[in-house]
Amino acid sequence: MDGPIQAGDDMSLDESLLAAYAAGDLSAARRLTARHAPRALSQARRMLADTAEAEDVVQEAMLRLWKQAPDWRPGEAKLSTWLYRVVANLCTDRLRIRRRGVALDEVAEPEDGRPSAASAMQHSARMRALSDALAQLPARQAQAVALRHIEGLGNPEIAAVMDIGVEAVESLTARGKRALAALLAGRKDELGFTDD
Amino acid sequence: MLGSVFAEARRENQTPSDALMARIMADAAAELPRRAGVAGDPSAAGRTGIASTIWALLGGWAGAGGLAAATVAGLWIGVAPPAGLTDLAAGVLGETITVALVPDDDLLGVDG
Repeated sequence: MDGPIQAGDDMSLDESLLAAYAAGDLSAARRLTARHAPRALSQARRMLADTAEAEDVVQEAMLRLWKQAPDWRPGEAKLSTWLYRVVANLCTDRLRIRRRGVALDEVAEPEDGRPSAASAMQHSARMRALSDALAQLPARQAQAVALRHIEGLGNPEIAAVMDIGVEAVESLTARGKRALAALLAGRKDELGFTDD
Repeated sequence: MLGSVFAEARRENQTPSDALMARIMADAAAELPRRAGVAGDPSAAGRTGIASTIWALLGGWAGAGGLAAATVAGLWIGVAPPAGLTDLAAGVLGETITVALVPDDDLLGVDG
């Protein structure tokens, strides 16, 4: 079902699949989607706290991949790195639009009295609060913080994703984290944090 | 507190729905003929280089339609010329020769 394409590592497998798709093999696109869409969707969902928006971002990112496939240069960039960058950029584009229309204190508070429902709603409220706080940051800070503290990437990998030096990553991450802490500090009680 | 929120976000994984996978694959299929020149667009399939140049010179399907109609009309005029065409040809050319496409002989012997 997966076709004859085999490769020694993830990077060369992705490149082989891209080349096969560019040559007209649609099943290669199916394999690329299965390999990368789940991670891309999680990244977008974590940054945006909105499933519909995250799905739109992933569809757009994959469309850019299909357009890019014939011109993909083997050995130059990992597909996963490229996709992290595209998704991060698309997310901060959407956060910028959101920043114009949503005040930071408009997040819904838990209304249902049942513990599980209240817990789920509190989780949603926290994720939305994080996303809205990211929207308040400059785009590069938001991307660096999200890649470091939400996606868990190392600084060298973030540097590759953002096409900047490691020192610049450290600076962006530190400033972004401080700004996020300040933005969320005033909402500690509202988001259910009673200590620290 | 920020560390807790980050940790909570990291635990959140989203599985793509079937609908999203279908949307992505629809894009991949739509982009395929444009980039690779295969499948999906019959007007592009199988024509490259000289063939597509000739096709373009003929005017694509619209030009080919007119060409086909003219060919059929010419063939019909050759098989069953309208009355007066033979006289006109004789007047212009001076002499005409009639060549039978179907032999006069009764090859199958059906006439007895």
